[in-house]
Amino acid sequence: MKDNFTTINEDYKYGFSNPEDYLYKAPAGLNEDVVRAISAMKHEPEWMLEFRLKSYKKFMEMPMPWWGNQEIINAIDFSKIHYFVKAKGGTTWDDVPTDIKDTFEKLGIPEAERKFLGGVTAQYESEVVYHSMKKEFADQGIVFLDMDSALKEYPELVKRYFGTVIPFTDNKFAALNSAVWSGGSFIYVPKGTRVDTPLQAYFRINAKNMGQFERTLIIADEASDVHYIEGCTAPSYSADSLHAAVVELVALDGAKIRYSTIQNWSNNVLNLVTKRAAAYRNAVVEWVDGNIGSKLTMKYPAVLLKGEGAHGEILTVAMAGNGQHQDSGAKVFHLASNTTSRIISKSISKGKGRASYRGWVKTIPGAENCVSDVRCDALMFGDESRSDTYPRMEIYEPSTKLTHEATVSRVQDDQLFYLMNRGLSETEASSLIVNGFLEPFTKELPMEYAVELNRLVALEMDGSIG
Amino acid sequence: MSLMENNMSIQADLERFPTRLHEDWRYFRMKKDELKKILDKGQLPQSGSRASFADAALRHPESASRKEAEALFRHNAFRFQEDTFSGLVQDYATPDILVLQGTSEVPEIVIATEKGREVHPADVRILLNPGVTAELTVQVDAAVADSFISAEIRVYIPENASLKLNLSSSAAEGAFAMVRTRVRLAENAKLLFSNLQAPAGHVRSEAHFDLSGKDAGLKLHQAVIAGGSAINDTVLKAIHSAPKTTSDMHTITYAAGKSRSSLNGLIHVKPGSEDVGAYQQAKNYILSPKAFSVGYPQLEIENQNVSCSHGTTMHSFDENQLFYLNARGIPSEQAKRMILKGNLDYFFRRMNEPQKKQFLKKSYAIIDALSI
Repeated sequence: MKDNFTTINEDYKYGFSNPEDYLYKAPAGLNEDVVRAISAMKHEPEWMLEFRLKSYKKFMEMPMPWWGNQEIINAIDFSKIHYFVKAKGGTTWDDVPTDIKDTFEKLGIPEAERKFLGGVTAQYESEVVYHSMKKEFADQGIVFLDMDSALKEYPELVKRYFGTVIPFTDNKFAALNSAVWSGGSFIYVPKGTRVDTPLQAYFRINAKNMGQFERTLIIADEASDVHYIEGCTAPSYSADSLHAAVVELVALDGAKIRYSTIQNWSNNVLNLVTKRAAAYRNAVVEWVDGNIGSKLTMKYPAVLLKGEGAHGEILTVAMAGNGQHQDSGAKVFHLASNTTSRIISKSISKGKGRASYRGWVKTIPGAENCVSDVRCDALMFGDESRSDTYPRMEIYEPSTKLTHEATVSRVQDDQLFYLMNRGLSETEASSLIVNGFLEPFTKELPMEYAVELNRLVALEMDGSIG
Repeated sequence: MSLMENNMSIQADLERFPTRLHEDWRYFRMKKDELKKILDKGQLPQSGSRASFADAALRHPESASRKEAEALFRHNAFRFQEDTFSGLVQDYATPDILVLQGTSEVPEIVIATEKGREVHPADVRILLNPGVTAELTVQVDAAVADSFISAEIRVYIPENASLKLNLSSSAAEGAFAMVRTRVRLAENAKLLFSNLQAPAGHVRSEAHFDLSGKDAGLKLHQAVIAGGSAINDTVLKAIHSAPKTTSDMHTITYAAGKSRSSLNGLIHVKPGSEDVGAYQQAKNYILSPKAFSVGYPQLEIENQNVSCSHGTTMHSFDENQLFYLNARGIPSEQAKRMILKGNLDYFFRRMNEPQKKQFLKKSYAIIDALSI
């Protein structure tokens, strides 16, 4: 049996980096001039500049969150971060510069696009460098653009929904994103339209001390249906990078949005993301959120159930290896009657890793007959690992039915015995058990992602028992 | 001179604490102005805490062992957070160290206010001798409007000793009771903690269990019955710092009228505490559209060889249960009270019969008065 763990950084296949060759790289640090410069470079309308400046002011005023890993977040030096880095890009795959193209080839993006995606966006540093969508979807009126282009091409639509689900006053990192956001995806699915194959975005940080602040807004009009997938990677530098995205989903009456994330940042990225959805009458929002990489993740996908009959579902998985803290969870507010929600959270902590679940379910007075089910399971490997559960339940309505359950344990000896008895090695047996543990999550992913995730788990579990 | 002049400002205290990691003061804090008023004009009680027992059941330690006992309670596990409430106890209460003898008699300590504007600080320290099995009842009752109790109860359970501790906390309308309990369990020490909180006014109860000896075990059953405009904040912490320790905490909350209730629970398993078993269950009945309930059960596990879990439910009555009783000719309101009482009967089943009867009698009277 191995003594040491295989950390994701040792075998992190996306840890390569390219030489830094940019059209523009803002100097490190944040001030009003940087905010104005970003807005000017993007030729934004006046309202957006005002929004950015207001947000910048709020960011400077707001305190750090009092929860989460205080040691890491209070050590962030905002003056050392580059808030905007513009890479060269292209409209067709051939136009994309070779080094960036190589990066995405290595990540398998074009291959995935050909095989099973309806559209793809690739963001390198602060802006989108490649974007495409299948013609049949474009013909149906589906809009899938990078956020910067959307602001130019659909200014009214963007203005109507931008910042409505997550106001810039929400938290310090949402304020920061609102001030310096760049890139991200914009999706609009017209009434009654169904997008059969998933749309994907891929986010890549390459530069050192880089801050990536993409902003994603998805609007699913009445009775429409869309599945969006995002993946994230970065090189393994010793200096930390900051990823503070804001993702807003709007599911109008009867619409369905599924948002899947496989976050596999390298171990030097602080992943502090605000994700929230508003679900109107009979709408369904599903967050499928996998956190494998990063040094610290603080991310709690939320659903505001605003219309009667709306349903929110959040599936989160976190794997915390040596030196990692996955502080993830879920938040559901039942703001209308007959709304339902389900939260399933699975976490694995190993070596010196720490996995925390932080959740919040709330029903307001008058929101009758709401049902919510929360389940958190944690597996632990190693004497120095740590697992925390911080759920919060606020019920202000007597007709609510809420159940919450959480368990923490290690892999049971009898399970290992059973499998090893039948000829599996300890690593194979533990991988199998972990894959079974994660099954509610992987079964919700497209096949290719599920296979990749299982492989990652096998890699992570190598030598973890003991 | 005001009683509070030498103490920290209550206002500042309550502003400072609400965002502490494992607890919150949300409801108690809502009444800070009323509390400040009582403390500003408050007067110390004429008489101290009352204790009813035969000398054979509960004794003050011999003067030779008193110093030893005092030293025992200086351990960090018995240190309360420094704030207005502990300051009040430190400045105005005399520590009362008592040794439980383990006789069949169940001694009872009563900490109660007797008139308005009374501010009653109390400092009770309970000891057992190793190997002794004993039972103790403590009643904290801020019985008069505009009165306030700040009680600190420290209990040390040594090796192989076993204690049944029955605590009942209540406060009249407009009165406040702050009850802080810290229990340290040595090797193979066992505690059965039965706790009834029945506020008409405002009760904040903090119970901290330090399972520091191998094989130490805690069983906790806590019932909260809050009606009218009562406020109830509860903090329960089980800290496992030794191998093979177990904690099993069950709470049930009835929130009726315009009452507000919050529960902050924490199970913390420290590194090196192998084979720990910890369980926390919280049931909440929300009985009126204006009653609020908040649950915050937390786990912090720093060891892989554990089996820890918690479960919470929040709901009103089970329709099947009601239907069953209705179908047998029992009207809805009566059926509801029957269910609430039945729950408690089951809940306190591990208590000794006379004490259980005392708890249930008190609970049933409150349930009968609840508007459901």
